[in-house]
Amino acid sequence: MALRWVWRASLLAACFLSVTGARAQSVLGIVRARSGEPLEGVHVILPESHRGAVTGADGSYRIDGVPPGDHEIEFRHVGYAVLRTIVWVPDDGPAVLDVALETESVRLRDIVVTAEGHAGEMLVRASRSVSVISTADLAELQGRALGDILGRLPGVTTLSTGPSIAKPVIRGLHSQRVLVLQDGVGLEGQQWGGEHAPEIDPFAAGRIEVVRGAASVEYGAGAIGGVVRVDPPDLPESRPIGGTLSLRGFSNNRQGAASLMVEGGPRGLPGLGWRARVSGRRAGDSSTPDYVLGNTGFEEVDVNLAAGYHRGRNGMHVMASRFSTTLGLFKGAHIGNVDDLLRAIERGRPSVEYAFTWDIAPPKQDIVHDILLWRGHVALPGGDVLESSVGYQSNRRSEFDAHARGRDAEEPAFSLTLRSVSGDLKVRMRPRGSWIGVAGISWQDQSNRNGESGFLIPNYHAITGGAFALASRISGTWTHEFGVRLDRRWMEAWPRERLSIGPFVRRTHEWTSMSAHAGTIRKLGAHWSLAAQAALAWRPPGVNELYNFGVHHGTAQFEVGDPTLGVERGRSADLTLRHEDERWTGEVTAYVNRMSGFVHLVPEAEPRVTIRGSFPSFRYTNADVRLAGAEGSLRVLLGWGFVADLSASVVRGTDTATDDPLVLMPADRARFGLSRTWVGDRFDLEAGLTVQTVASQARFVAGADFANPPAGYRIVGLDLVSRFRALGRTLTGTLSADNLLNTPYRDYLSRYRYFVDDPGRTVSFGLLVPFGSAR
Amino acid sequence: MKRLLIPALLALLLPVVSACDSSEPDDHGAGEQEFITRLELRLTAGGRTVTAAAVDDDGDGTGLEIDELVLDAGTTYTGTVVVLDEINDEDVAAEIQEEADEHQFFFTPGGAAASRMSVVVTDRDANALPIGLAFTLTVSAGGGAQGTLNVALSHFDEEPKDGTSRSDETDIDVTFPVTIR
Repeated sequence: MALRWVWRASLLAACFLSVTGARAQSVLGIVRARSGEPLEGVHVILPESHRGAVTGADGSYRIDGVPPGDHEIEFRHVGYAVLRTIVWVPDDGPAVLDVALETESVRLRDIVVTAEGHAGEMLVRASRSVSVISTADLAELQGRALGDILGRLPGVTTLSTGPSIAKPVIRGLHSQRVLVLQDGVGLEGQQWGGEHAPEIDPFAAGRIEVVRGAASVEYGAGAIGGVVRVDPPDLPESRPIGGTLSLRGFSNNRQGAASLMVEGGPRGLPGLGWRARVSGRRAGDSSTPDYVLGNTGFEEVDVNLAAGYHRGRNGMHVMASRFSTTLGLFKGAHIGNVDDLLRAIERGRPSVEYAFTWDIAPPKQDIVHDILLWRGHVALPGGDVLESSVGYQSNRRSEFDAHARGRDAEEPAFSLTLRSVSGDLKVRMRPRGSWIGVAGISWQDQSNRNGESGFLIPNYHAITGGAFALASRISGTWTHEFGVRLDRRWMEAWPRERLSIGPFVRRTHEWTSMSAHAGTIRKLGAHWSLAAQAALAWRPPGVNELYNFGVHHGTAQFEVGDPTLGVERGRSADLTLRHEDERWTGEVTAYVNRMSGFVHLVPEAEPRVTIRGSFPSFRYTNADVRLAGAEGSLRVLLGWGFVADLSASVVRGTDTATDDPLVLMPADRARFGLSRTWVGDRFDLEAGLTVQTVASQARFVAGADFANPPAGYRIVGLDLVSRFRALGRTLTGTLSADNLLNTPYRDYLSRYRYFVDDPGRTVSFGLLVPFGSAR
Repeated sequence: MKRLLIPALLALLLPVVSACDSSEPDDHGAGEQEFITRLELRLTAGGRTVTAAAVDDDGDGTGLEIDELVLDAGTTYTGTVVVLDEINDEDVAAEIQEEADEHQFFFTPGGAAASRMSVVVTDRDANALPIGLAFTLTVSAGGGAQGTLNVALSHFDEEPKDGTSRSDETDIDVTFPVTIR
């Protein structure tokens, strides 16, 4: 269990700051359960000096009159493992120490439906619109795909390419506009591709946070539309070896998923913790209610190794991971030219009756993503903390065509290797008065290489550097946040002289721009808060937007890049109202995001006619657009153990020059859930029913797409989750039915919507088995 | 430990700039793509040969030129189809012949002269189904007329080739203007 210097928690802690300069100082912070909720009544003790405190309802504690230097400190709470560590107290300010306690074992009686315990925390969470999926929620979702998990959040949808590929869409933006972070490092894959999913093992997630809207000041130019942070659980400390085995099986595509995690922290070496995880999944063809989707199976093997060591306020963390997958693409979506596409749309179902198979044949993708990460922090004299990280990533992607003309079928149609080295160095300031802040620099060096066959996007080499500063101030019921960042990106690319043929030529680009963020949160009494924020963000055009030239199979679109494209900028503002009390918790956000130079595909007047047939032609163009919308979620305790959940989101994308709606904007949607928990002596059971309603996208330019957006749909899901004692341990079992009524439907953001329905009913069964010290 | 860590942090930041080499591609290795740059119909009747070609030097349609097919009324031509990838110097027709059971050409007359032309495929694959690399084109007797002849190559990957239906995977689709004299 590592100690963490949580930015947001220190914000809260800064409330309690008093006069600085005195010799004796204070130790203060917040104690949380590992799931994130603050713990009340935790005993915090300094054994040497027999001083102590008990945490309040918000998990906060404060011990005054502590002399500067290193002190042993203990956290004790019924039902939780005792946490002992060292706190370093500076001589000119308080020491802020936030900790997460771990349950001794998952106790049956602990699971009581309640909104108490984290009162107030959510109210001042962020001036931005943020959603968090906690460790406890993730335990119930174990084994599900990342896209499936993220799609449950308000304002988040997925752009899918069949059952095997889903990428997050936040407020209508995706791909290069949404940054996905694993363990704090931005995932560098071929993110521009709509059918390129994030390379993440969802089993390894301990917590998922989604930031809706630009977060460029903290995360750089890639975060113009939003951020998905997938963080592992904290590493254990001073604990014998233990772990979990997760299993899940799905009926529809006969998918089996398993993950084995082992972790420990040698008792003799306090501060040291490690974890190893191996996950795998294999799926055959999925089925809609009416037919099999040929060649939509996938297989995935992931390995993740992590270790950390800390002593006092210094520490380091290393992580190595590999994600590897082979996934099939539905053959019926691999069409020749636009006439083929129109014929397939007309038919409305596959031309072939497929039989279920586990085999994955071309067209398919092979992806291997490796990450090496080092991160460290040291306390500077005076109490500030210096943090640094260096990461290396390699993303190798090979795509195989349905048939390779005149070459070995084992040879990919194209392959790309993207290598990135990145790092940052930042100083996290100790609180000064009511201010806290962080400032730093970050850099990245990236190169993309084509393999021996095929050519999709040119080779390139890019160097990006940035400097940023963030500050926040808490005074009374107000919290203010400010941030500014400057980034510069240099790129050399090697397109062909005549785009599809000719010698390679060197082209260079340079972009420099500023991001900024200002936000404020006002607490309105004990149960309400209002947050507002404004952000400036930008993004340089991607290499595909500059140099793409060729047919996109599956949509029969001829896409042409524009090397003269300018920078894309976003100016956005959000307003969030939050409420939290014993009965109901909820938030609603309204936003508007005006983007200038928004890069999108605009149809050209003439189709491109080749010997292969004709293809509608699209060119990447800068345009001025407006994205506006709202999203909200509400959880109400209804009594008799029933809990109701409601979430909804609406987004409107408009080209402001023509007033035309933007393509591929998620349709309006709402999700309603009703659940109840029964607590018994030997087990507890939570049963939940979810109804998701998605409207038809009524905003589209008639005739601009090959087919109108599909009809709206309503799908029902059922989830049973039980924790029970068996074999001397507490097991978690889940039984779920997605699309319970086997409703045929097509989502507008499915890239296969022209050809086939989305998958039908799938029943899944999952089991989470702890062992060793995790029992 | 603190004293050791600070220089370590800084040192790790430095070896960056030279981390990645130049990304200049190798002209002879990388980037080979498949193209079709030439589709040609060669028709012979009575010792005379008529050809019409669709030529696309870049393979991407930028400079596509399609010849007019000039035919004599009341004549039966024996035809062959030539398909080339001149960028990679490959005879695509030979590859089609190799995978004959997965391919079929469809010839569709159109325009005012549609009824004057009839095409019969003369070659067969191992399953005795038509291929279309060889065919006869019969132009009925009569006066001059204008029309078109569409040549389409369907690829049958998993849809069964039945000799009459087209597939959703069209490899070639060219419409030649036709003048009958």
